[in-house]
Amino acid sequence: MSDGSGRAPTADGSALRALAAARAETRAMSDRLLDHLPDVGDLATQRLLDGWVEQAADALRALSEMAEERLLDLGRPSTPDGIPTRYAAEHLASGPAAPEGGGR
Amino acid sequence: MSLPTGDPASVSALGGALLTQSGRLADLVTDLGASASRARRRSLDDATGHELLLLERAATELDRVGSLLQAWTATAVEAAARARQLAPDLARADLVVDGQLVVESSGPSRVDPETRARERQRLQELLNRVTMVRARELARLGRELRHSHDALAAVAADARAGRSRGS
Repeated sequence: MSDGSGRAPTADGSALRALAAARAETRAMSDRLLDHLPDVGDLATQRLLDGWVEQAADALRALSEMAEERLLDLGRPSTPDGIPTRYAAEHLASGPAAPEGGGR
Repeated sequence: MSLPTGDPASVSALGGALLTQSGRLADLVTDLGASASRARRRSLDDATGHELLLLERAATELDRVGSLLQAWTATAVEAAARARQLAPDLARADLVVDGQLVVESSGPSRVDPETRARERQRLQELLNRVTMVRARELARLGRELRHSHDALAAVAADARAGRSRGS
């Protein structure tokens, strides 16, 4: 990915750490959200709340996948320069496994 | 007597968790924002602007619904307490609550019929106030949940499509 100047997107170490944290934390948030079993005591509202929790968990999962993709982009040798982002490469070497290949 | 309150503790737990998660997302937004500022100062591309905006939108929704659920918990607990306060008067007049209606309990009663009818009307009005507040808050919660559901669906779609702003 490059802009009009042919310059590849770059990011410093703190951006990559923040992205890595976003990836891990949004995924964990999504899982933890689904552990909740709230009971509002009204059937119609309960359905809405259950649906909202599902949607919120999905949005958090999508954010995690997005951060994962971004980290991979930044770590990938980028055309046309072909210069990998050093920080990303270092981070990805020690980071968690790659995603399983899209949402469920 | 009691109103159907569900389980306020479970709703409060979810509300609290959402507020915590929203705070953490806001921290991540701050971290990414600081990185973006540094990148701009060094004339580098902002590599995380898209992610920052989407995290911010998600944080806003979690915060909004977390606060609403905490408010709903308070309403539900208060409504249940106010409904319980009617119990002694209901018992004195041989009345019971059936759903949202004050009705005469089955079997004979020693309570003067006129007094009983008067009490029934008075207690029904008090119960109506409690149930009305509860119904209004439930309706508000429902509306907000629908709205937030759509906002989060847009966040998920934009995250997967590589866009930072909903259309």
